[in-house]
Amino acid sequence: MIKIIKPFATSLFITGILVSVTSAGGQDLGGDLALHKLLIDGEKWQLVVDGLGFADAPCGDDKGNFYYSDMRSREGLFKVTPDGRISPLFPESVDAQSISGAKFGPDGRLYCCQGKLQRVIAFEIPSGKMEVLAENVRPNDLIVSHDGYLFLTETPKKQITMIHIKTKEVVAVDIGSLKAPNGLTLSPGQDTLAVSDYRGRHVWTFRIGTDGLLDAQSPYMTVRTTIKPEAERAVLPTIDTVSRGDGMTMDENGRYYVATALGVQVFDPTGRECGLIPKPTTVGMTSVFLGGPDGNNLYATCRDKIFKLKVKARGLFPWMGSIPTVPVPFKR
Amino acid sequence: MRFPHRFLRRLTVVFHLALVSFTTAFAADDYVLGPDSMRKTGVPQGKVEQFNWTSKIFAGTDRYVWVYTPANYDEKTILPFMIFQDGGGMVNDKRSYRVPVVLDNLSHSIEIPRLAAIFINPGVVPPKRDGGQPRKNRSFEYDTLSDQYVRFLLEEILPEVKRRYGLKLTENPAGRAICGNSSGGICAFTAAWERPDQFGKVVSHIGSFTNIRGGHNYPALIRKTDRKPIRVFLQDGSTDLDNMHGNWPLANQQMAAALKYRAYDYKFVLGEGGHNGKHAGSIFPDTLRWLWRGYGN
Repeated sequence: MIKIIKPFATSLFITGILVSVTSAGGQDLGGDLALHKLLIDGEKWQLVVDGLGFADAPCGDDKGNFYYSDMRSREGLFKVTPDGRISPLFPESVDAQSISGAKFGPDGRLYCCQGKLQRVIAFEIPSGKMEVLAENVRPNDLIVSHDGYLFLTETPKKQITMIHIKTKEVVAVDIGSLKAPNGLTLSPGQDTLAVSDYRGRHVWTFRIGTDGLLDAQSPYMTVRTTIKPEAERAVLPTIDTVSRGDGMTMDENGRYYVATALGVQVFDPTGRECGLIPKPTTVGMTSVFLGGPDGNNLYATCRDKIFKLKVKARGLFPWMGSIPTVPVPFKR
Repeated sequence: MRFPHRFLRRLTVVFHLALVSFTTAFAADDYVLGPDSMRKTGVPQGKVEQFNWTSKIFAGTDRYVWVYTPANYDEKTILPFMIFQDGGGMVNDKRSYRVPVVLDNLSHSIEIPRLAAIFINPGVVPPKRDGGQPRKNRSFEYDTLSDQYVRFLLEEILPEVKRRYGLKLTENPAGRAICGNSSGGICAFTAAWERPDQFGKVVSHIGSFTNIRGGHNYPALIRKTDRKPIRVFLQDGSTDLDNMHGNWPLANQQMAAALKYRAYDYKFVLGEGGHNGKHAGSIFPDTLRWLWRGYGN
């Protein structure tokens, strides 16, 4: 009996898919980027490293190596190889201390925010040869585009700054749109810059001009925040307006990931919320990065610990060039 | 007895080909347009003009706007008007809604007042570099529960339309209607919900009152908020979307039940169609008759 039903059921199922695809309607609703398309059954946060002073600046290369900063360590930057071995990136140097944001650039160098010394620097790997790109800045986090535009947040100045990495020209490209600009990332095509607002409720998007200047600023993604229990209850509860939006990353499907007070919040390319991945610990989460050996480890820096979660998405390497967004088909 | 496997497979293939052709021939949404959606001889035609608008409220977005002026407009009469989201489809006289054709016909037969109509596309942030990817602003503009879209209409679009075409538009909210499909439908409701002093009439077809950006909260909000002076027409189809954002037919029934509970002036029509404009387009002349009944009396 089962043998009779099975091919029948299979073809009925295929018919069902045909019907549902043809009636799926507008393209905005065509892609399914809900969280179940990202999470893997049974996968949990795994500890990568423990006992750090203050973890931040997660990033990676296309060889599967993962890098992070322990802001209270002597060596500063550390490297985790695909087999899990951890070592200081520049064991002989103290140049890489107190890095709060790091990303690779198109020239293969690692660009870093060193707020303590008010400068942006770049390291050659493995030599550790350092160059100072800008001084007297208040850098928090950064991202580098394939075109060689380095965007950094100067959180206390409510400013987004662009450094042209070839000419070292430094330009304030947005002042005051965000209360506390913090993490940054790029769309797969690198035409859109996304910036989180630590003291606001949104992740903002900007259009990147051919000259590296920004316009078309928009509070495109609304970050879920906690309910204020002490506030007087109206029709809906009073929602905290502070997202604590921090470090950001992206995947090849165009999803945006942002570290927030509640955990990692994920948004689709149209700015709609895909969902929230609760954070692995109760302490604050400073940043996220999607990469690692297969490009599918979502790393989260949480003060003294770093965790990873395997997901069904692959990270992007913006320094290697822009790519078309990979669509996620709509099917159950 | 056991059927030969290959035979069975062939049989089911034939069966399902038959099923597909059957559903194609007699689809649930095989709605057809009536005579009020067709051009009629002797009915004067209004004028449709187009302009491109770069927004400040939705910073950096470009979009087309079409403006319909009724036939023989004398530039002294104060006109009621309608605004349409996803304007490019609604203004097209070959598609489901054919709004200019229907407005020509029904105003000529004095079944609705003479109206102006403004058709607005959703915004797009075009890329700066050649071959770049645009950022689509539709979901942000339409699905967000806030006053941002209605402010865009009031502060940017309406002043520009009046300035450009010398139209005199009524300030009476009962003479200002807003209409859309899908996310454009919830957008229409949000505009009137936020500013009932500005928009007193709403038409939502296959409206996305689902959790795309929190729109599923509207039934609860309607129930727990004093009635606002809005007349609401809702249409949906029983085979509309059922996806990760929600179930459209259920969501629209919840909307209708909430509007009924708060004694709104509303009408809900549930057809058998899917996520398209066939059903709503076929009843659109009647929708306008219901929406504009009693206006100006």
